[in-house]
Order: sequence, then structure tokens, then C-alpha cells
Amino acid sequence: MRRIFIMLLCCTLLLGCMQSKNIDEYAYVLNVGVERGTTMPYLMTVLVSVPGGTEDTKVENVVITAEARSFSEACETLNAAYPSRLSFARASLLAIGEDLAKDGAQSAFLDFAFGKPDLWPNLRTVVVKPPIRDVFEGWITEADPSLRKIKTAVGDLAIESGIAADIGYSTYLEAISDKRFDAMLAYAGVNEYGLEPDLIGGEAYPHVGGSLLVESALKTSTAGSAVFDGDRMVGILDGRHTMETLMVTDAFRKGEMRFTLPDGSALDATLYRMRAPKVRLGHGEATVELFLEADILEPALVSADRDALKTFLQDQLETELRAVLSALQQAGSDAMGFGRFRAKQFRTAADWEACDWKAEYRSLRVAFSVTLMLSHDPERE
Amino acid sequence: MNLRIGAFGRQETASMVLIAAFFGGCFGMDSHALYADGNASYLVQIIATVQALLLFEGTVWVLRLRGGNDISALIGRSRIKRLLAVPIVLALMLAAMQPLESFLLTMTQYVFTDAKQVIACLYLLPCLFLLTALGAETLMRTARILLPILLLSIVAAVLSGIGQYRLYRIHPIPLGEPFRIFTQAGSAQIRAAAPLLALLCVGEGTQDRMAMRSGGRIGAIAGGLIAAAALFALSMTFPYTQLVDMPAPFYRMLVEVRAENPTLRLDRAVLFLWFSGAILSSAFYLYAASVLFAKSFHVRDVRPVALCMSGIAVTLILVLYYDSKTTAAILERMYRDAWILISVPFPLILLNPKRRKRCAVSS
Amino acid sequence: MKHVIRNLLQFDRPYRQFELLETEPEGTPSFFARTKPRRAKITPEHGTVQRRLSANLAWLKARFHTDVNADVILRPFKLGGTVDALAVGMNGMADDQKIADFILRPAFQIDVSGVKTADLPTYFCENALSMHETELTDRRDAIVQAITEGRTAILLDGAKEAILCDTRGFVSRAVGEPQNEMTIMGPKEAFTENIRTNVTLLRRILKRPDFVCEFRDAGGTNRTKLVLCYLDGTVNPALLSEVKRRLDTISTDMRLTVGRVEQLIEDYTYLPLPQMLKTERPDRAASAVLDGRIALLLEGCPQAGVLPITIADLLASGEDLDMRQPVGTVVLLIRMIGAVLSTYLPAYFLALALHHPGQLSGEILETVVASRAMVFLPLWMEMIFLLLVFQLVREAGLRVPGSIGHAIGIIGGLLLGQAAVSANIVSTVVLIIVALTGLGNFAIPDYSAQVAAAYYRVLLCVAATLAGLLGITAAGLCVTAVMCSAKSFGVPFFAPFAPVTKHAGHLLFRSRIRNRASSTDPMNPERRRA
Repeated sequence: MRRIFIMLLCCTLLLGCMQSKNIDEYAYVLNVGVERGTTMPYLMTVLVSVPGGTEDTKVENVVITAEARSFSEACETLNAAYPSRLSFARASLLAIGEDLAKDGAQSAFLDFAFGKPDLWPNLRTVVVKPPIRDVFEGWITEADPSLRKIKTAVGDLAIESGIAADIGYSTYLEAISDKRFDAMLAYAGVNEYGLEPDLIGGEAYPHVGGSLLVESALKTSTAGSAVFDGDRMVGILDGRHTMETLMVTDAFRKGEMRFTLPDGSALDATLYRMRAPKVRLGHGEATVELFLEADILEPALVSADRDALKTFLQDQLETELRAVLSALQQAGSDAMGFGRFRAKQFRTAADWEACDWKAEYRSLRVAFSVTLMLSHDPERE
Repeated sequence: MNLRIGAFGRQETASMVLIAAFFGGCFGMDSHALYADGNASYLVQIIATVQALLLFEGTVWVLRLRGGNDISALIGRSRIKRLLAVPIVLALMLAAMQPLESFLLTMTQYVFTDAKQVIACLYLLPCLFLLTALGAETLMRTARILLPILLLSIVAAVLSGIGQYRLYRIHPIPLGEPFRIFTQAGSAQIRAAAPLLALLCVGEGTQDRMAMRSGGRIGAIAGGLIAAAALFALSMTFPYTQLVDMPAPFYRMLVEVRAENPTLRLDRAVLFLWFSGAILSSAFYLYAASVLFAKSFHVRDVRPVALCMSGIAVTLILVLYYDSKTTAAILERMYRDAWILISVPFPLILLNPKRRKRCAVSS
Repeated sequence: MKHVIRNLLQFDRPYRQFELLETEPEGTPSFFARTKPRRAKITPEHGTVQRRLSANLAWLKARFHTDVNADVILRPFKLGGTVDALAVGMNGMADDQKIADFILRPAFQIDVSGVKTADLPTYFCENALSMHETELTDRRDAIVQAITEGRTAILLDGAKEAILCDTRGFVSRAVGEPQNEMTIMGPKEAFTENIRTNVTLLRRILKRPDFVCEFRDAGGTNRTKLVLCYLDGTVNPALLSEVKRRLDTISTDMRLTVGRVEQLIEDYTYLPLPQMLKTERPDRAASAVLDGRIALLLEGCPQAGVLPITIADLLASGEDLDMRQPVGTVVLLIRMIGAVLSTYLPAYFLALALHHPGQLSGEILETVVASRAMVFLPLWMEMIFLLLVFQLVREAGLRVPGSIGHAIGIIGGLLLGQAAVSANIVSTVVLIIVALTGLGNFAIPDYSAQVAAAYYRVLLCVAATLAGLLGITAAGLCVTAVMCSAKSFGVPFFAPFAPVTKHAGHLLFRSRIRNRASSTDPMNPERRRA
């Protein structure tokens, strides 16, 4: 037995060597982006980190691009252009060009990319205003040598403030393959190129009261979201409307909003999710109950007339939610995910698949009801 | 005879059956069939476990009536009766192939994309042969040692994905077709009943029938429930529309976690940890098949049989890989209909007219 | 001149130099010159003591080669001034003072008139010899054995029996501190080369009547003394008889030590892990004996062999139970982490760096890549090279005495590492990995287990280089299975975890000391401790 085992082991050692490469023979891609090319259908842009020598551990970042007809072709071109072999194993962001997303043409390119084993399937995905090269370069800064940390912080800020949708490519794929909801991806762009109007009439990336158009170390901003109908992008929601949509999908945790009071003065409030929204779906109509807590930054305003202020804020939020839903319905995007509740009403998959949910959704009447608790509210105790 | 069964206690037995039941339930499944009409995989798993337990309890009851500690005691000594062992041996071999095939596919699809499956198999074969040749005692003890680590990894994997779970994904639950769920559970018997069947083949190593019964029962129930829980977690991570075509759903579940870990990702380490569990359960099936074969056909040493069976199983997996169209169709059909391999000989074995005598029941 | 030239140019130079040719009684050696296992021939000393003293004197002179062997002292004297007698002892082994004071002086003073010649030895023993241990024998082999041990044989003319007196008094090392099993708490005594002292050290701890020290020959031609120490009524009789059976099979010309006896009676020759625990601490050996194990003591060996053992014993230190439970658990946990790190860390790093770089975080990747920027060796070679260097430093530090050994450790660790990094032979990250591995290795208390861990480390590194995590999985599973199948004198290596037996403690978390007082253990003792 020992001999047979040793023989088998020898066979393994002689024949069974897996191909391997030293860790330093790769160049590690941080960001991958795809947009429409000029001569070929796709332009792929990658941001590569280049570590320095032993003494100087400073990391340099290089943006390289290649036009191609497919992902593999783009990879080949990029590999030919770069001295090291590109590894996508540590890529942490996928950027889809707005031009490509509007036609839904990114799917064919990315389907192949995610067949690649080293690409993290649930990569943070954003839609960007082209050119992607400028967006990537906008993230490179002298402030901190490690781009990864900054980028993670940017993503986390978006999540924590609620002004940007934060979903991965896997969820995006789910939205395409399944009709229960439509994708809503974070929207990013270079500040200098100006803002675009959103579906409701806001601007692409406003933040609290102002916008992200500030002179900072970073030239690229991430705020607001791109909404999809299937794999086709149908419009943009600004930070505030994104926050309101996320409240319905229960992805909202915390965020700041500025309200204009009847006397024209502004009120800043931090909203917190109190508990999960209640959505009831009937035939052609639905009710959505939201439970929020507001921390008003000006205590004087709260003590003046608490009930009136609460009613005003609730009404304003409900009005805005109705406007957002109406715009989404017109665009054909179920970004609020009412399909998730419709699917529960079926007892076989075949029946659900036979249902034309999108048609039902367009004519769905939704009643929003917001329950707002002000901080230090005596009722709460 | 050098059968290398050895001696093992209840905890070791339960550990081995648990590992085999879990990996059979979660990694041997046929996604196309299971998710084609909605997601009821966790219900199927529970029902399949109950069915397998009924079969096991029935066999142990008959063993108690007739005396004997393993299934070969029920199979007669005549040449024709000995043939009844052949379908069971085949069923165990198929059960051994399923998790291995699933893992090799995952490996070549996600980990070693440039490598051929034959190379991965070359690493598998010495390991599989050594485990089968060392015998039941070693397998059970190895299972006992590995179980806490495997359980920890499974719990960690299930817990780490909590952020991604959405309850809406389990809908629509296909409760409108209960018959279909029961049929799927029947088809899953090759995975659910195989650990208990293998245990019945090596029952001689347990202290007595009661120890075998309680070890098998605990292992099968725990393994079945953990597998059902893991499948439920999987159902909350992916909708059935994605699961139907997903090659390695559990590995995909691991990599769904989006938190940026500052040090390491552990998905591959966990995958290979699970792979060791799959190898162990496959070795258990192959060893049980070898023992049953050796006992039925009077082969004096189990090791040559184990070597042959390991070789055949690995070769079949390779054939499936290289000739995927025809062989895959045949093997998929076999996996689906393998329950026949168990259900046909079993009534004959249990109702075997000879040697029907009441033996003293050991305590 | 001609002769010189011939010597230089001629191929078939005539044989001039002395060469010790091998004598080949079993024919020419095989192609690979493998030796067949051969049992050592032990020629037993037959015969009994003769009545005539001159015949006995001639036999002794011939047996001990006294014409060239000056060690043997043959001292003729007249017992009571009338009977011819002879005292035989080994110079240096027997105490001169004892012979003069307690044998010769009473022999001159005793009155033997009226005593029959045949009764003389008994009479002499009972009336003159003021020694606590005397023995009468007529067997020649017993006399030879006694003389070689340092006892003195007294032969009387006309008597058929000889008197053996215990006059052992050779120089030996005093009881010192343990060198390899240092502890902070607990006793500081260590075994010595003197088997009597070692037995006394054990007896001082185990003050109970059922503690048995069974003296016997270790086997082989050298007839080394061996003591089997166990608690009668507690130790499993099957284990005891199995150990005795295995000891009976020993037949060798070698000098026997605990390590050699272990190899001669163990089950698995190729298993790197030791199957017997070698300890230099009497308290540890005594604890093992109380657990129902057997301790082996050998003449000339400052260690006791404890058997059977389990994997937990290899990771346990003598003072584990002296620490309180929470602290003891933390220490045990750290030791386990050290053992796992020491075995798996280099292989895991190699697997990730060569096959699965995506598993490392971006920051670590950047650090590793930056540290390897100028290194020309492939990563696997770098790792193997550093592991080899580590072992070299360790071996050199062990063999070189005292402070120079410490200096070598420092030079090896600091200067060589730094120089290797500066010379771009190795990268800092790999150096850190190997240093961590080394630290983890030293956390394993048993030296043999440390070496075994090094063996597995290299095996896993090769597997990881070839096939990444797949290789580690396959090799790790094989190693685990082999260890699970292994037994130390019938006790499974992973007991009490696999197979599960009643036990008080866990491998990872130490139990409360109160629980251990009433525990049973996997040694399957005859009488459970209460």
C-alpha cells in the first residue's frame, strides 16, 4: 500500500503542477471601467496601482485605456500595453459609462468579464459620466498615498449619508435577471463637467443643501443614482430623491435633509430609520408606511410648535415620495421594488413568470404614509 | 480478511454521517432540476432527510430482528443474492462522485481557470486512495477532528452573508405543487440516504446496533438540518432565477460579502476546507462500497478494491469533464434516477426469506 | 624518480597503504549496500561457581581479560585467617572504602573455626558483613553482571556459592535543573544519568505503596538497566504486558537510550511525530505515572520515556496545571496558535502569493510586492531558503555551548536576516513570515514535536508551491488522516477527541482543576482515579 501511495504521489508531483506566477509579476487593477469607444464598441479603462521600491513604499496609480470589441480583447490589449500582467483580483470598483448604460449595451461586455474567476462578483458598481479616465484620475490625489482607503471612504460616505445607492454588480445582475425590482446604481462624475437634471427636476449630485461642487483634493464626486429599467439606464435621481427611494427599499439607514419651512427659512434634519417600512400590495394599489426619526439641528424650532413641524415634515416627505414614484413609473423603473411584494402573491414560479408585472406597475396607485418622530419627543417616551 | 473497519464510537459515527449528509445536501445538488420551478430546496432537503431516516430505521429494525450489525448480514450468501449488493455499491459510488464533481467544477471555474481538471484529479487521487485504504476507523476519527472546523466555517459563512440576505428572494415558494417537492426529495435520496447506507455497510465497527442507530440518526438529522439552513441562507442570497444556472452557488455566496477586509479574504480557504470535507465524505462512500463488495464477493483485502473504486470514480469524473455532452447526460440521468438503485434492492434485502430467525437482541 | 613517476601515472598503483577491509561473513554487499536487520547475538554465561577457588580465579581472569584490563581488582585474602577467599570488584565502579571497611576488616576478624565449608558464605553474610544488601548466588552470569555494575563478589575456597555485596559508589552528576523543559513555576529538579537517583527522584514524589519500579534489562548485549515505573492496579495490565513484550524483542549491539528504545518498540517508523514523550522532569514523569501511564528510565540516560502519549501531551508543558484555569487556557490557546502558525503559515502564504493573490488585501499586496521589488529569487525558493537558514541557525545554536549558542542565534536572526534583505536575496515580508513560524515552533514544548512540525512545514510548503490551497488541502488531509490512524502503544493519537473518551480537559480550553481530580483518561486505566 505504501508503495502504491508513493507511486501516486510521484505521479502528482511529476505531472500535477498547477500554473503559478509570483505575486510581484502582476499589476493589480483597482478600478475597471467600460464606456463607448470611438473606433470600436467599447473603451475599457483600468486604474492600476504600482507599488514603489523597498525604500519608497509610496504607491503610484496609472490609468490606462484600450478600445476593443470584447472584454478579453480589451484585456489582451491592456496586457500588451503594460509590462506586468494585469490581475483583477483586487479590483474594488466597476464603472459603467452613462452612454453605454443608456443603451443597455454594457451587459454583453460585462457578462464575459464576470465569467473571469478573479473578478469579485459583487464589485461596487457605479454609473459615471464619461470620460471614465477623467473620473478615475479625479480620485488620484496627493493627500493620501493609498487610493484604496480614499475610495473606500468615498463609498462608505455615500452609504452612510444615504445620498447614493450602493449596490454590487451581483445585485445589479439580479435586477436584470429578475423582474422583482430594478437596479439603482450610484452615480459619479467629475465636478467640473457640471450637473445634469434628474428625473424629478433636481440636479445630479446635490448634498444636503448644497452640492458637491467644491474645490477639494478629489475632483470626482459620487452622489445620487442612476435608475434602470432592466439593463437600460432610464434616468438619474439626485441625492435627496435617492435617499427617499432607499427609504422605501429599506436600504436607508441615516441621512441629512434640508427642508424649506413655510416662512422661507431652512431647517436641517438628520433622518434615521426607526424600523422597516410596511408595504401592503393589493390589486392595482399599494400602501407604504415609513417610520423615521428626525434629529433637528435647531432646537429652538422644535420647541416652538412641535406638532405643526412634525406634520409639515411628514407632508413634505410624502409629497416628495409621490413625485419620485410618479417619475419612476413614467420611466418604467421599479427602483422602489414593489415587484418583491407582488412575487409573494404567487404559489408557483410559472405563474409569476407569466405575470406582466411592469404593465401593472405603471398603473399602480401608491399611498405613502410617513410616521416621523422628532428627537426627544415626549410621545416617544 | 483485512477489511480495516476498526472500531468507532457514536460521536465519530455521527460526525462522519453529518459531514457526508451536509456535503451531499449542499454540494451534490442538481441546480437545474432543483430550481427550475421556484425555490423549495430547503424543504426538499428536510423531506429527503426524513425519507432517508425512515429507510435507515427500517433497516436497523430488520437487522435487530435477524441479528447482525451491517447490511451484508441481510444479503444472503447465495450467488444470486450477492448480486443485490451491486446496485448499492453503484449507488455509493455515484454518491461519492457527486460532491467531488461539484467541487472540481468549482475549482476549475473559479480557482484554477488555466488548469485542466485532470491535474486537479491527480491531487485528489492519492488523497482519496490513502483515506479509503486507511479504513473506517481513520475516516471516522478524521471526521471527528475536522467537524468542529467545518461547522465553524459553515456557521461563519452563513453569518457573514447576513447583510446580503433578503427574505423576498425565497418567493414564490412553490407550495402549489407539493407532489413535485416530494418527487424532488425522492430524487435527492442518492444524497440524503447515502451516508446512512454507507454507515450500514460499516456497521460492524460500531459498538452495537443501538450505537450505530443513534450515531446515524444524530448525524443525519443534524447534517440534514444544517444543510437545509445553509440552503435557506442560499435562497435568501440569490433568487431562483440566478440559482438555476449558477455553477457553485455556495462559493458564490461566500464571495457575495462586500465588506472590505483589511487583511485577508478567506473565501478560498473556506472553499478548500469544504473541499476536504467533500473528499472525506467521498472516501467514506467509496470505502463503504469497497467493504460491501469485498464482503459480498469474498475479497480478502479491501485495499485493492478501494484503489479500484477510487480510480473508477475519478476516471468517471474526468470522462464527464472531457466528454461533457453525452456522458454528462448519462450521469445526470443516473444521479436523478439513482434512487432506483437503492429502492429496488432494499425491499428484496429486507424481505429476504432465508435466515429469518429471531436473534437475541444485544443491549 | 622513476618510482615517483610510476606512482603518479600508473592507474593500478600497487597497494601499499593500510586499509581496514570489511569482513563480509554474509557475502558481498548488495548494490545499494542495504543491511538486513540482524539480531544481535547475546552469548549467555553458562555454568556455576566451582568449589576450588583457583578454578574460579582462572575463570574470572579469563572472563575479564585481567592481563590487559587493569580495572578489575582481584583481592585474595584469608577469611578468619584460615579460609582462602577472593574479593572481586571493578575499580572506579565499586567504592574502595566500603570494601575495606565492611568486607575485608570483618573478614579478617571473624572466627570461622567449626563452620562447615559449605555453610561459610551464609555464616559470613550473617555474622560479619555489615552491609545492607548482600546476595548469595552460584550462577556465573550473575557474578559477571554484578561486578560490571560495581558490586563486589566474594568467592570462598570450597564453597559452591559466591556472595555479592552492594559496594556501588561511582562518581555521578548531581541532580540539576532541567535544561530543555524550563518552567517558571513548579519544581526545578531534573533526572540525572544515575538510574538509582532517578528512581529516588520519582519515589520522593510518588509516596505510595502501589508505585512499582520494575528493574530489568533493556535487552541487547550491553545489558543496560531499565526501570519500568507504574502504579500497580492503576496501569492497564494489557498495556504493561504489551510494553514488556516489546521490550523483550529488543536485541541490539547499540548503547541504549530512551530515544533508541522508543524507536525499537514504536509502531510507526515513518511517522514524524514521537510516540513516546521524553521528559527530563521527574514531576512530569510522576504525573504521567499517576495518569496510568508507564515511565521508562534507562541507565545513563537523563530522561524518562513516558508512554503512551497523545497529541495533547506533546503540546502540554509541565507547569500547565500549576497555572490557574483562565491563564492556563490563554497559554494553551497561544501555544496551539503557535503550533498551527508554525506548521501552516509559510505554506498558506506561498499558496496565496503564488496561486491566489486576490485573497490578500490590496494594502498587503502592495507591501509584499514593494518588498519583493529587487529580490531575484522566486518566492518559493526564497521561502525554502529562509526556512533552511532558520533550521541551520537553530541547530548551530543548539550544538554550540553556552553563551556562544545564544550569540549564534542573535547573529543568525538579526545580522543574517538584515544582510539577506540588503543583498536582495530575500524580502522583508518573507523574513517576517519565517520569523513568526520560528516563534510558533518554539511555542511547541516538546523538541521532537518541534522537529516533526518542521517536517510537515516543508511538506506543506512543497504542496502549496505545486498546487496552492488545493495542495495544502490534499497534503493536510493526508497528514491528518495518518495522524488519526496512528496509535501510541494502543492509544489513538488524537484521543480523547477522536475517538472520544471520557476526559476532563480539552485541547483548546483547560478544564478546572477540580474536574481533573475525579477524571478518567484515554489511557483506560484499570482503576479510575477517585
